[in-house]
Formats: sequence, structure tokens, C-alpha cells
Amino acid sequence: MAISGKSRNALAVTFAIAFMATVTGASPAQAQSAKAEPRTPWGDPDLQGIWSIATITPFERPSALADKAQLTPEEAAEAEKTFLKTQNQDRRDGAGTEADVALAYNDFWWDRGTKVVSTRQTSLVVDPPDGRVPALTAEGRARATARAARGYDSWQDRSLWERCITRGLPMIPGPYNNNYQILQTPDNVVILHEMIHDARIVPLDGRPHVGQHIRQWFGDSRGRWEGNTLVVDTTNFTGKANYRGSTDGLHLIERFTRVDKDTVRYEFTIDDPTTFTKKWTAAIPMARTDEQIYEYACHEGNYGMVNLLKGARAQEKAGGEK
Amino acid sequence: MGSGFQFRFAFLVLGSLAVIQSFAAGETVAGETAAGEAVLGEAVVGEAVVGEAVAREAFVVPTFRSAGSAFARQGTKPAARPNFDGIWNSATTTPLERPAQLKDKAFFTPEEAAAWERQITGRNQAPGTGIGTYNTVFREYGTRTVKTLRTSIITDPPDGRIPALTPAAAEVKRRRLAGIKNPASAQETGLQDRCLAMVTTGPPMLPYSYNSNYQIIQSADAVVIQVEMIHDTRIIRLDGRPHLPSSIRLWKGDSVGRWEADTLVVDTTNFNDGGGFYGDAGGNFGWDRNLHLVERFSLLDKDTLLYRFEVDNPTAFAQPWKGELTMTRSTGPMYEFACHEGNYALPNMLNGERVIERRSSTPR
Repeated sequence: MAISGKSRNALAVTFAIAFMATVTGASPAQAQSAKAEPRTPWGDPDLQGIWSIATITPFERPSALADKAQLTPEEAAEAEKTFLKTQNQDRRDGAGTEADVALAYNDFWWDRGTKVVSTRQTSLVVDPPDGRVPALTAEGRARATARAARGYDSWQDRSLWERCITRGLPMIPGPYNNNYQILQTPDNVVILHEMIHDARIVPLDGRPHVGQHIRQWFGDSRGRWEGNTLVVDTTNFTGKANYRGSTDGLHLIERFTRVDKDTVRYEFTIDDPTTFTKKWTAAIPMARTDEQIYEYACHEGNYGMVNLLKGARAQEKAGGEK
Repeated sequence: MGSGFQFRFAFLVLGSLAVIQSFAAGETVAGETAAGEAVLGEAVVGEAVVGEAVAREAFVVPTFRSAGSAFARQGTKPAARPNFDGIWNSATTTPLERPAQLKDKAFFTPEEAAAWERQITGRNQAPGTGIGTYNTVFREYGTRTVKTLRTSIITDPPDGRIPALTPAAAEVKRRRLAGIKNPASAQETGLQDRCLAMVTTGPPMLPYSYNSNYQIIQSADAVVIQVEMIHDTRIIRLDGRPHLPSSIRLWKGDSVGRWEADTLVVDTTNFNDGGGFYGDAGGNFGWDRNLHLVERFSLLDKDTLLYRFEVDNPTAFAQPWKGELTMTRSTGPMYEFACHEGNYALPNMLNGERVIERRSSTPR
């Protein structure tokens, strides 16, 4: 099922408005449990279970919160309340208008979370300290411009998301199906992504990355333990994976830390010097869920792509903008 | 398919012909074609059949328990279970169903197996006739029979053939095959053509003419089977939780596992209605949502996995049936699989149908 970039932007904007109305000063702090985290029988930190990264916390810090890294509990509660009110997809204002059609799925269908992240950070990006993705390089900007010019001539012009190829890496919250299942052995970690039923098998045995000429949507992942943190190092991406405009030179470093019974802290660092002017890092608490993950369907029973292209052809016939 | 030719070559020596050959007819009568050609000499076929008991005896081998893999960092597996961790390939020259010329013969002798392998491999390497599709570099046909030397993957009924469908299931199959042979829409094609599921995933997991590869990761609570095709991943829980409510219906069903001595027994129910029709090349079985599948995984030796399965589906088949095959350990690795990506077959199939209709002026 495809969600347009437009809808996602709308979510972010509304979130920003909600925050602007509610924020006051508070000091940033990371809440970490002092309790001993669970261990596997062979002594590794236990990351196993089903985890959700659904959250209403925006990826980048809203400009209104420029100097504020963390919400107070009261601000968080207010932000959640406002978000739910403004984002109610079940409302019907103006039947027959484009705004009404754009509501698309209803609230029963969405699964984007109702809470800010448990750390109450104001953005998922935590480094740079302003909570914003660093500027693109000149080359990165040129590539972004070329990408933005792609239209609706063919399904190949559309995003990987809409084409059901992959939702890719890193793991970032979306509007639905934010669930992951982690399984461990001494030698491997398996991470099942609900979306596109992608599953990564990350070897922990220290073997080197595959040869440079092997390029994959999910790259090539190698894991190791650094203290209580699982560090997953991924290279060998195909340039087509294109996370936020990144290239095949993307070096992704993910860190998984079980901070308490119900939380794995997930952190990723994006290192791609030809695309971003500096490295950056996001942190997302993964919340334990007792729900099960079922099979995911993307193209199956989904007429979204056909309809997108048909719509574009209809607009062309009508003399509208291509 | 795996990306990268290194991988492809690495597996070139492994693969399955018999299954795909039989599937080309849109039927699940593996080996029929092979049987008709009977390169295997009559003398060989006519020779004394190896007694089942003898052949079975030969394959009663010590169990290989987990002693930590070559890559083990620390600690041991939580329980002393057989360790299936690794990459496995199921490609074989053994057909799914017993060829007619081997009617009463359940096992090959080693010499017969070698002759069969030469025959099948020779045909696989022969230049094709007609338009053709993939070449032999692309395929990963098996070159060996299953290690048990069975003459068919189907072991029960004793004739090595899949039992007849019930009248209702036969009617469903007739309709589905009509759609698969002359699809009016993508929805009428097989699951394989739609990239929804492949016969290697099943379950049951049967070999195909390429990418018959699996990676198994096993812990105390779950067994993960990553299937190369469609990058499907089965997560079989071992924690004793019951099956899902019957209202939940899935392509791969709902699998729960348990250990019976050194055998992993996987019980799968909750299948959906659309399964079992993979398409012209993939096999069309006709099981339905009531399918109750039991799979058994055990080790014949440290590099050979014995995979057995039982199909219990009274609404679809006249009687239950069973099969078994062996998988061989591979060094891998497995790479990402692409199905629709860069693949224009589905539009071309539908275009082809429309062209045929226009030419014959008899639209469906």
C-alpha cells in the first residue's frame, strides 16, 4: 500500500504545529533503566521479541523547537492529545473535496502510534544536536533535484515504497506496520521487518563483508557485540536503495541496546560523504509488543500503482499538468 | 534468483530438473516426461529391486548433535538438539512423482542412481528446442538423486504418485489451470507468476530448477527458515503456543514446531484459499485451506538434512500422502532474490494472450 510523500509531509507539519502550541523549557536527559537487562542463555544481551517503532515524534526537530531537545511529560501528553485531534483520519470535512479524498485510510487502518517516543526527545535525529539531517553536498543536491523531476510515466519512476520492492534500511517509523521481530543465536541475529516481509540474517562470526561488486537493497550486514550493544555494520548497498538520496557508498552503522525489559534503544548513523556534509545519527526506542506479526501484502490486492499511473494519463488527456 | 554470477556458478552443480519438467505440463506428474524417454536402460530397470528395508538400513546413521558451529564465538546452544544452522540446497534429479517405467521400484541401486543422474544431467545440458527460456548457466539443476536413493520424492502412497483429487478439488483445479493457461488478468496466473509464492517456500518446500536454497537459524524458541525464493522467511515457534485462531489465514500457514527426539516436527495449519497453484512452471497441487501439513527435519549426517512431509487434506485429496527429500549443506552465501524487479514476464504473458485472442478473433 502506498502512502504519498505528500501525506507524510502533512503528518510532520501537523506534528510541528502541535508542538509549537505546547512547548516550554526543559532540560534534555536520557531516561535509562538501572535494572539489569535480560540475557540469553549463552550470555549475550537478549534483544529477542517483537518490537514496534511506531511513534508520533517527528524525524527532524520542528523549527519551533530549535533549542529544545526534550519535552516535559506534560508537554508530551499535550502533544499527543493535539496530534490525535488534528490527525483524526475518520473526520469527514467536505465530502467530494480533494482534502477529503486525501484522508485515504481511516484511523482503524493506520498504525502510526499515538505516543511520542519514551525518551521524549523532540526529534528522532539526535546528532547533529539541532536534530536536523545535515545539508546535502552539491552532488547530493543535484541528485535530489533529478529525482524530484521524476514523474508518473512509468512505475519505474515511482519510489521503491510504491513499487513494493523494499522499505529498506535503516529502520524508520512509518504510518503503519512498524513491527520487527528479532531472534538470536550465538552466531546470528535475525531481524524480520514486517514491511515487505524482509528478513535480515546478520552473522556475528567476524567474517568480512562480501566483495565490492555485490550490491544489494539491504546491503551486506555484519554484527558484533560492543559491551551490551549489538553493532551492525552494513555496506554493499546498491545505489538504487537511495535512502534520503544516499549512494552505494553508504556506510550504515546500527546499534541495538536493551535498556530495559520493554525497550531496545535503536540508533543508526548515516555515513555517506558524497551525499551529506557530515555524518548524522538518529535514535529510536523500540517498544516491546505482545502482538504477533502476520504475513504482509504489498502488491497483493493493491491497485494503487495502476491507479496512480491511470490518474496521470487521465490528467494528460484532460490537458492538465503531466 | 541470487544476484551475481559467482553465486550462480557456485550452485550450478545443484538443482532440479524433474520437478520443473513435469510442471511444464501444468500437472503434478513429475517424471512422466522423463519416463517416456527411458534413457535408463531396460536392463537396469529390470534388475533386482533393492529391498526397501535394505535401503533404509543403509541410511540409519548416527545423529549429529550441536557442538557449536565453526563460527561459534562463545557458549553453546541452549539445548543439545541437532543443529540445522546453515545453508541447504534441495535441488535433485529425483522426480517428485515416480516415473512410469519405475513403477514398482521405490529405490535405485547406487549404479542405477548414477545412470539416472547421467541421463537427467545430459538432458538438462542438451540445447533446447523452440523459443526456450533460461539457459543452463541460469538454471541450477540438481545433478544427484536424493541421498536415500528413492526414485521419487513422494513416498506414500507406495506407488510414489500424488493421490487423486476429490471431485470438488478437481473442479477448482480445472478452473485454475484454465486461467493459468490462458490468463485474462494477472489474478488468473499462478502464484509464482505473480511473485506471491514459490514451490520452494510452500510449505511443503519442494525443489525447483533454480534457487532451491534455504538458510536455517535455530534457537531454543524458534527455527527460522529463510527461503531464497521471494525472500520468504518462515519463523517456526517452538515455545508451545497453540495455532492461531482459524480466522487467520496465511499463504505459508501458521507453523508450530516441537522436538521428537532428534527430529524437529513442524505442524502447519491456517492456510488460505489461494495456495497450491504455483503456475505452469511451478506445479499445481490443489490443496486447500484445510491442508494440515506435518514436516520432519532431521540430520542423516552433518552435511545432509532429511526433510519429510505429510499432506493431510481430506477435502482435497482422496487420501493423505507423504514425501521426503534430502538437502545438502552449502557454503553459501545466499544473496537477495528479485522476482518482479526487472522482470517483464507478467505483462508479456498477458500481452501474448491478447495477441492470440486477436489472431483467433475469439476473445475470452
